[in-house]
Amino acid sequence: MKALKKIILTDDEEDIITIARFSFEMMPDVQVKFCHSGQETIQEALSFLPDLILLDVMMPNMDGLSTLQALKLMPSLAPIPVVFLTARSRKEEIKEYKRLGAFDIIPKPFDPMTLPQTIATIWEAYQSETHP
Amino acid sequence: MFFNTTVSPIKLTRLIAISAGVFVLFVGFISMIGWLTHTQVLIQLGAPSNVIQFNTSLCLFVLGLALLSIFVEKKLWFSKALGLFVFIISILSIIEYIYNISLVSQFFFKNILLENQPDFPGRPPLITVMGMLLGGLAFILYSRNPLSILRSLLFNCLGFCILGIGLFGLLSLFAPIEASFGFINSNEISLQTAISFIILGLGIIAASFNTSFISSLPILDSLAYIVIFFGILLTILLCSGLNNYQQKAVRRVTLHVSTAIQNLIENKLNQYEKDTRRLFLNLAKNDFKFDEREKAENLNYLTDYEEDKVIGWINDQLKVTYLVSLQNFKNLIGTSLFLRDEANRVFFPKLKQKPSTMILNFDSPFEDNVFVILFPLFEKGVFKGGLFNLLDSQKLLEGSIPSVITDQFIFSIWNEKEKEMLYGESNFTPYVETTLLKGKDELVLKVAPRKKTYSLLIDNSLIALIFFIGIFNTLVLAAFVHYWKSNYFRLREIKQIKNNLNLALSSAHLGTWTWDAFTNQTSWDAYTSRMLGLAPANFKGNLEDLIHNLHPNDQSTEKNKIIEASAQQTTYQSEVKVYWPDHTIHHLFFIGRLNKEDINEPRKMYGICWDITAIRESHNLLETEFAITNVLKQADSLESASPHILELLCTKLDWDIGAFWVISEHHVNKLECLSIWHSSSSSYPHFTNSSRQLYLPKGMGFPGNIWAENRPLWIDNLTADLPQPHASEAIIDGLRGVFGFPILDERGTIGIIELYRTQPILESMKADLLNFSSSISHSIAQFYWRSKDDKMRNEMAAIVEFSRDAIYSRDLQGKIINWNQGAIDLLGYSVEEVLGKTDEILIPPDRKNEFNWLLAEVRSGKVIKSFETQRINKDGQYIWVQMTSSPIRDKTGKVTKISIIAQNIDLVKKIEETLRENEEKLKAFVETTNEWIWALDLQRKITYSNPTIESLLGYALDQIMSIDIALLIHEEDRDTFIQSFNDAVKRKRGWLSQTLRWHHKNGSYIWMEGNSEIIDGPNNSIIGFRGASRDVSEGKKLEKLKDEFLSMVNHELRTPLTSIQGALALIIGRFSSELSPKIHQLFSIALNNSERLIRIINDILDIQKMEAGKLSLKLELLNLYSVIQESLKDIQPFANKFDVSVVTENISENIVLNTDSNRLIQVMNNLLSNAIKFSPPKSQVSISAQIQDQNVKISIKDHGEGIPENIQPLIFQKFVQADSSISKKIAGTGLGLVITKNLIEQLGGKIYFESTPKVGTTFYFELPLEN
Repeated sequence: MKALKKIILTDDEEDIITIARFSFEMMPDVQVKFCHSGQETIQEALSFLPDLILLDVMMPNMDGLSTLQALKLMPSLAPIPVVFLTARSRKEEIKEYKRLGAFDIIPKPFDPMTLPQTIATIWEAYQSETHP
Repeated sequence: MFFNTTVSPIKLTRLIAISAGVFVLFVGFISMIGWLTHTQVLIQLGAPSNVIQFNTSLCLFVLGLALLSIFVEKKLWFSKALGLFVFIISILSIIEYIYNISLVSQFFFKNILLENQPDFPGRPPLITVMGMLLGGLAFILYSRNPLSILRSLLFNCLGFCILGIGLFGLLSLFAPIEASFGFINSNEISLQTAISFIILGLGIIAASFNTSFISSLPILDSLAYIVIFFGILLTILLCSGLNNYQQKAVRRVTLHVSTAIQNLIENKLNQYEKDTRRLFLNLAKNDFKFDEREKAENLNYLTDYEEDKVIGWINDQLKVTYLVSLQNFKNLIGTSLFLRDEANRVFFPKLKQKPSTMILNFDSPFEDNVFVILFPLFEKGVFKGGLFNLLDSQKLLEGSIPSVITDQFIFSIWNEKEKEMLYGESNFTPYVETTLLKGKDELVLKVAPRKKTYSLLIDNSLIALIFFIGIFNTLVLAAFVHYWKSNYFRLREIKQIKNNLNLALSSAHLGTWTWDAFTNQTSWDAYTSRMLGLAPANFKGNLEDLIHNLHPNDQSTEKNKIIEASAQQTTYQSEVKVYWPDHTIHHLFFIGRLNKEDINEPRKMYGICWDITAIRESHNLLETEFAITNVLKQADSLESASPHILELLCTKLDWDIGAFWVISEHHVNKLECLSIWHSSSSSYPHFTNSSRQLYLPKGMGFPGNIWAENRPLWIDNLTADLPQPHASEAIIDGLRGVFGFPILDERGTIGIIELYRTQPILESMKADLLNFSSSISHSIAQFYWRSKDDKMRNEMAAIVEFSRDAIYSRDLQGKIINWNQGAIDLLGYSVEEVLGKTDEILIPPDRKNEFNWLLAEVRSGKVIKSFETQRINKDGQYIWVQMTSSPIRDKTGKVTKISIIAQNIDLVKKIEETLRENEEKLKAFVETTNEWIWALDLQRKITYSNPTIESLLGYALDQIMSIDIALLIHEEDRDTFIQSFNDAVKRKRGWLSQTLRWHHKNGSYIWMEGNSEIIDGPNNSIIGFRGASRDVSEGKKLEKLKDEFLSMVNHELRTPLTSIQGALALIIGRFSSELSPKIHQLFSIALNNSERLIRIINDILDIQKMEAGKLSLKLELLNLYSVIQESLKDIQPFANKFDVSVVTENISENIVLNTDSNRLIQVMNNLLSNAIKFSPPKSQVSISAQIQDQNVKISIKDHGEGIPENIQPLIFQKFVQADSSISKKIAGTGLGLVITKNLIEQLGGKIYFESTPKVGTTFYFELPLEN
C-alpha cells in the first residue's frame, strides 16, 4: 500500500487554512501544500504532484467543481483523488459530488482534531479501491 | 449482284453461251484454214505452242456451231446431229489410241492434208479427245427446251467437265503436269484447244442456266459455287500431285543435239574422261556406301570442282549418298548419271534444278546425229545404274562400228587395275547401246522397259479417273448442297408459317385438336390443355381421353355428336362444359371437321376450340339480374322479396347459402338478419341459427364490415382468414368462401347480402360479382325506397296529425284547408272553427306587413324556414312561434297551396332573455377583473382576451388578437411554455399555476401565473384552451430576495463559522493542556454554540426549501428494514456520545415502501437523535414497525423526561423545545420536528406522539405501503 506523502489543501478562507495547518501538524509524515484558489491548485499540482487533493467547493472565480473538472482533463493529474471540503454535505449532495468525480467529501465544518484520521481513512479507502 | 434490272439473268447467260459458241466456232475455223492452207502460224500460234491437230479444229468448229444452234428454236435436231458427229470422231480417236492405229486421223492427213506424210499419225492429244467426247455428249443430251431436270443437270455438269479439262490442259502447258494420260504417244494439248475448251465449258454452263430448272435455282448460289470451285481446285491439285509422283518413276528425255555438243565433247574429252573415271572409281571404291567420315571425304573430292555447287546427299534407299548438280560437271556436258532402284526401275536422281537444265538444245546442223553410249554400273555383278553419254556420231563412225568404239572408249578410260576394281573378276561386257538418229534433232531415250511402261499407263489412267470422279463428285455435291439449301429454306418457311399460325391461334385464345376416326386417336395442343384445366402441354391419346375432361353430364352426348358428325361428314360444333380441377366450370366451344382434301377416304377430324366462359357467365349474370328485377316487380315488400332474391343468387351463381341483412328498425344502428336461403337438399344449422339471433353493429362481423366500408367484400377461404364473429358457425357448417355486398343507393345503405359457398372463392368470379352486385344492389335499394315511401306516406299522415307542432295548410287566398291536433292545441281553434276561414285571424295587427312579405316569398316558390314570429291564439294571447312555411305545388309545378308548421317557442324566448341578461353581467365582470382572461386555439393564437391585457402588458386588444401567445412570453420562458402547451394538447388537459415572464409593451417584463382548461370541440376533440393569468411580479421579487438572502446565509455565515468552530476545536482538542479549567469551560461553551448555530442554519435552509416547494422527492421501492438499518448506522456515533443504546423490535424484513430513501433516513435520524438527546445515559431507544391497514406505523420510543403537556401542542412549530435547560445542554435547533413533520407529510404520511412526563415519549409516523 502506498503511503500518503503529499497533499494539497485548497480554501479561499485563510482562517480555515490556518486551522487545517494546525491539524496537519498531527501528520508529520505528510507534506501539505495550501492553496487559495482553483487556479493555484492546478498550477501547484502540476509541479507538486500530490497524492491527494482537498478542495473547497465554494470559491470565487473557479469553484471546486470547475477545478475538479480541470484536474480530470489533465492526464497527469486526473488519477489524483480529490476530496471536497464542503458545507453542503447532505447525502444526496455527497452522491452528486461523487458522481461528478470527487472521491469523497469531508463536511464543513470539519473537526480539526479528527481531520488527520478522516483523511487517513479516506486514503485507505482509496488504496483498497484502486489496488484491491 | 451485277445481275441488276438492266440485264436479266436469262439474257445474260444466253449472251455468254452465244459468245462462247462464236469463239469456239472461230478457233476451229481458223485452225482448219491453217491446216488446209499449210499456214503454220495458224495451227501452232508460234514456236512454244503445240500444234493443234486437224481433227481438233474440226470438232471445235462443230461444237461451236452446236452451241449456237441450241438457241435456234425447233432446230435442236441439228445440234444433236453435230454433237453426235463430234462424239463419233472422239470415239474413233480413242480406238486409235488403244490399238495404236490410224482410222480417221490418218484418213485426213493421208488423203486430204499431207499427202507426203504417210506416217504422220495426226491424232489429237488424248486430253483433247476427252474434251471433245464430253462436248459431243452434251449436245446429244440437249434434246428439248426446256430440259428435264436430269438432262439439265447433266448438261450443266458436262459443261463443268469441259471447263475442267480446259483448265487442266492450260495448266499442263505451264506447269510440270502431264496431260497425256499415260499414252506416251499422245502429244500435249495445244494452247488454242485448251482455251477453247474453257470457253466452251463456260458456254455450256451458261446455256444450262437458260433452261427452266437451272434458271429456277438462284443463279448466284454462292455456297454451291464455292463448293464447285474448291472441288475443282482440289481435284487438280490431287492430280498434279499424283502426276508429280509418277514422274519420279518415268521420264522421257528429249535431247536436241547439235554441233556444239560435238565440239564440247572433243574439247572436254580429256577432262571428261578423268572426271567420269574419278566418279566411278569413287562410287566403286565406296561400294555405294558412305559413312559420315567418307561423306566428308567425298565432299573434299567434289571441292576440287566447285565446292559451293554441291547439291547434297540423296536417296539413302539406294545408299548413294551424294549427288552433284550437272552444273558442277560443266566439263561433262553430254553425260548424265542414272540409277536403278530396288523395284528395278531406272531413274535420274532428282536434282534440285529443273531437268530442263539437263536438256541441251542445239540447233542441229547434222544430217547424221549422235551416238548415245550407255555405261552401265554394276555392283558385284548387279546393275546399279550408269552414265549415258552423247557422242558425235560422225567422229565415232569414222572408226569401227560400236563394239570397237566401245572397247576403245571404255578401256581407254579405265586401265586394267581399275577395271578389276570396278567389275571384279567376273566376265564383264559393257552394255553399250548406240542409236543413230537421222534427220531429226530429237532423241527420245526410253530408259524403262516396255513392260513397265504399261503399268505406268495404268497409273496415269488413274489420275484421269480421279480427275473425272472428282469433278463429278464436286458437281453432285454442289447439286446436293443446292438442293439441301433450297429444301432448308422451304422447311424454314414452313416452320415460320407454323409458328405464325400458332401465334395467331394463341393470340386468339384458340386451341387445336384432332381425332382420327379409324384409329380413335386424338391429340390436342397446350392451349386446349389449358382450357380443359390441365397442365399446358401437347397431348396424344384416344377420344375417351378428350371426352373424360368434359363435364360428367356432357360426356356421353358429346362423344356421340363427334362420332355422328364424322359418320355423316358434317361439321361437329358444340358448346361443352368442363369441370376444372379447382371445381370451376368453364364453357368451351368446339368445332371440328373431317379433312375432305384427303385423297383417301376422309377420316381425320381437325378442330379448334375456344373458351366462352366469360360470355356464358355474363349471360348468366344478366339472366339473374333480370330474374331479380322480376321478383322485385311482383313483391310488395323487401321482406317477402328477399328469400326469392337469395334463392336466385344462390342457384344461378353457384352459391350454397345466402343471408339478407337489413338495418334494424328495432335495434339502433345494427344489422339484423331478414332472411336466409339455402337449397332444401342441404342444411347449415349453426350458421342459420346464429345469424337469426345476431344484431351486428357497424364493423362487427362480416356484414358489419361491409356496412362500415360500404363496398363489396369477400373472404376467399374462411379457414385461411380470421373468422368473423358469426363466421365461426359458418366454418362449422363447412362453408369456406364468402362474398357480400351492401344494398345501397345514393340515399344510403339499406342492408347487406352475404353469400357463402362450401368451396373457396375463385379469383375469376370476383370481377363479375363486383359489377353484378352493384347493379343488383341498386335495383334492390330502389325497390326498398319505393316500398318504404309508400309506407312512409301513410305514416306521415299519422305523424302530421299527431305532431305537437301546429301544422296546417291554406290556399293562396288564405283559406285554411288542413288543421291538425297541434294547431288545435297551440292556437285554440277547433278544426270546425277554422276550416274554410282565412288565417288572418291568427296574425297580430303589428305583424301584417311581415306576414304579407312572407306570403309573397312563399308564393314565389321559396321555403321560409325557422322564421320566428308571433301569433294570436283564440284567447287573444300573443304566442312566440317558429314557423316554417313552404309552397305546395300541383302537378304542373304551380304553387297552389301553402303549408305552415308552427312550433311554440314561447318558453325558449323567455329563457333566451334571461340568458342574455346573465351574459351581460358576466361580460361586465370579465372585462373589469384584474385577471387577464384569454382563450387560445390549437395554434396558440389568441382568440379571446379581456381588456385587462392593456393594463397588464400595455397592448391594445386588437394588437394581440390572433397572434401567437408565445410571442408575448419572455424568450427564456418561451420554450417551457410551448412544451407545456404541447403536452396539454396531447393530454387534453389544461395547465395549472404556470408562472412565466411576459413582455410588457414598454420593454420590461412582468411575472404572471396562469391556469387553463380545455375548450371542448365536437367528438371528444379540443379546439383550444381558455384561462386566466394574474400578475405575480411582486411575489416573485420577494421570493428572489429571499433566495439570495438564504444563499448568503448558507455560505457567508457558514464560512466564518467553520473557522470559529475549527479554532475552538483545536483549542480544546490540542491545546487544552495549556488552558486553565475555567478558560477550557468557556471555550467548550463557545464550541457547543457554534455547532448549534451551524445546525440551525442547516435546518432553516431545509425548511426554506420545503416551503418553497423546492424539495424534490425521488421515489423508489425501498425495503423498510434496510432503511432503518442504514439510519441506525448513521446515528450510532451520536448514540455512543450520549451513552444510549438504540434497538429495533419486531421489524419485518419484508415491508416495502415507495418513498424517498434520503428523506426517510433524514426523518429517522431526526427522530432518533431527538430520542437519544432526551434519553438519560444507559437508557434504551427502541424502534418498531407495524403494518396497519395500508400503512406502516413506525414508532421511536425513548425513556426521557417526556414532553410537558403545555408545550405538547407547540412542538411541531418552529423553535420549540421542551426545556430550555436541556437545549443548552444538548444544543437542539428547535427546527428538527418541524422539518420532520413536513417531510413525512410530503411523503404522504402523518406524525404524532404520546408522551408521559418522567416516563418517556413515543413518536409515531405512518407511511403508505406499496401495494
